[in-house]
Amino acid sequence: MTAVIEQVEQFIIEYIEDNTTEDNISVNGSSNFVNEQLLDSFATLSMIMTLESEYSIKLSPMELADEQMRVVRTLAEKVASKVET
Amino acid sequence: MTVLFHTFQKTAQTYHNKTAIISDNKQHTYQALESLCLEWAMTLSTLIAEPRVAFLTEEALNTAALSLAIAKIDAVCIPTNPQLTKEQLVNGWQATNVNIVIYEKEFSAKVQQCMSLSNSDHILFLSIEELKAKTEKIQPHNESVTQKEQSQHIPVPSDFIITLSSGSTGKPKPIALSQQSKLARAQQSWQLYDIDDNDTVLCASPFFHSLGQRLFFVPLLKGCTLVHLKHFTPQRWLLAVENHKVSKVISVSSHLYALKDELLVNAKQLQSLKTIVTSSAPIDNHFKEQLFNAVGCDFHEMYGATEVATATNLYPKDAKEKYTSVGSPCPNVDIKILDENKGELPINTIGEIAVKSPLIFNGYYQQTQLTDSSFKDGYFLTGDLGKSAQDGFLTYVGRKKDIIISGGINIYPKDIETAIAKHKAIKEISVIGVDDKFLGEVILAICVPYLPYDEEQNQELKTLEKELRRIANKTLAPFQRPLKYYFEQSLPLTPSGKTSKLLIKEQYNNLNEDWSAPLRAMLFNLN
Repeated sequence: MTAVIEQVEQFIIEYIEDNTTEDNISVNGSSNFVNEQLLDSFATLSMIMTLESEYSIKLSPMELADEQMRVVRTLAEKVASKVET
Repeated sequence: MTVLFHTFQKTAQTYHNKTAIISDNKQHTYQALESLCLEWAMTLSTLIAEPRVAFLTEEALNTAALSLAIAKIDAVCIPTNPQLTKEQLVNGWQATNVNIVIYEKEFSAKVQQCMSLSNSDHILFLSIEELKAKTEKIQPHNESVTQKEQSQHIPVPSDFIITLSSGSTGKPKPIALSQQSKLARAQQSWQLYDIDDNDTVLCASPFFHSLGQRLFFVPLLKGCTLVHLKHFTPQRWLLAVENHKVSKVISVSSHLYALKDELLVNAKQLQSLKTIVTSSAPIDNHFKEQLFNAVGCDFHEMYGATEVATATNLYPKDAKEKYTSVGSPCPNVDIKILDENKGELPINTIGEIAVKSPLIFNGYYQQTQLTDSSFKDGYFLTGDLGKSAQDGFLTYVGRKKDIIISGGINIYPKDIETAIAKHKAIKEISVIGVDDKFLGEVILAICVPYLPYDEEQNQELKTLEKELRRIANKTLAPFQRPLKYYFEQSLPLTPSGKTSKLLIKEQYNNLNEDWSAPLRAMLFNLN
């Protein structure tokens, strides 16, 4: 489980690094990509869709409305939990 | 002609101690803005002959000072969307003969990527910090020299600002406007929305978008205060209106949709609001009435295009009776509805909306043929469909051109289709926009794969989708990436044998999905 979380977390971090307009930022598990404005709306939506496709999972609006899901690690944990089950 | 700059300078001298810009809780007076603009004008004119300046800026003071400095030296500015890929950026700059790119440090990484492309060799890249350092080195007494050199070397270009209409990987559409036209457009807004120097105007749109430009020049040429939001969220918007007593707002419909419920809940804090202007906002008359009663705030509905400015306006007094319309033509604007052969159609018949306006653009930069083919007898062919009533009120029906508008950005499906069709398993693809209540439209990619179509092949299609998303994530800007991929055996055809996007759109619109729900949930906690 931990390995999957770490793999998803790395995937999210790389996605943010590739799509952010911010310069010289360090993205890690505790980064809040919404509050820190690391991604614009389109890049955020594209990330959710990419995660769903990449890991063959679904994230419901109810789940995404949890503010903790804006944090890289929590989002990775949610995705990983769905991959496992 | 530096008429826009001179109007600003006159205004700045009248209101020198007044706050011109509020952004990120920093306030800048007209005097400070004018000084910065004069300094940068001098620096820019010494850097290069005939500057054509693209900028990647988000700070309001930088954007305002740069665009006005460029107006002063009668040069050309090309505001650019930093979300574009490096290839898209450099292609856009090449199409508009950009010779300087000025950028804020947060875009340094993107600039480095652009510099790695061979077709950016001729461009001088300058950060705001480097521009400031160069400015400090220039002695004030050089001004007369600069002015003299300028008048010798710089011809009088009539273009002032070029808006790149899309992040096209093919051919960007560079819409050129003169200073006279930008000033006249600001004057039109003052008149339509009764804007005077007591007003505080909110701008929550980026400057590379024509609405963002309008929301800078409308207040700054009039002596109003401009309140600028770098990034929109409903909470920031509400706080800005409340804290800075914003009175006038011109908004894209997606912002208004996100705000809708908040406006009534926060009515007490929004008493300063006098006017909200919007285009095709999903807001009904009942809501407008409720808001008027709670806040005392009017709604104007408008229709227009970057090429012709605002063409029609629906005044609050007409909203009740004419709720399906986008209003009547603005002063000195004439509208015709044309058939396929560009012949004029009778009233209440749907056809292409053609607009004749004194606020017309200069043309598509260096694309004479495209410019000429966009007019018929002095009327600009908008590519939009609509109908005119007996009393002149216009109803907007949809778009004739194959463009998707998502979050206020024009997106050309062809660019996306070209990128995705590069995958060897794609036989045919059609990229469409389907209706979405938040973003206006969202992008779907309908693909016909070479794989034998079979429900059992589900796993293979899932793998294909992953690969297509990787291509999109790598080669397309985030706003161009399809939200969903669908796989079909074939695409529906028109009687003449072409793919019928109309039928595909109809089919997928019928799914009636709340496409942007995940985004709203994540950004605004809205289920």
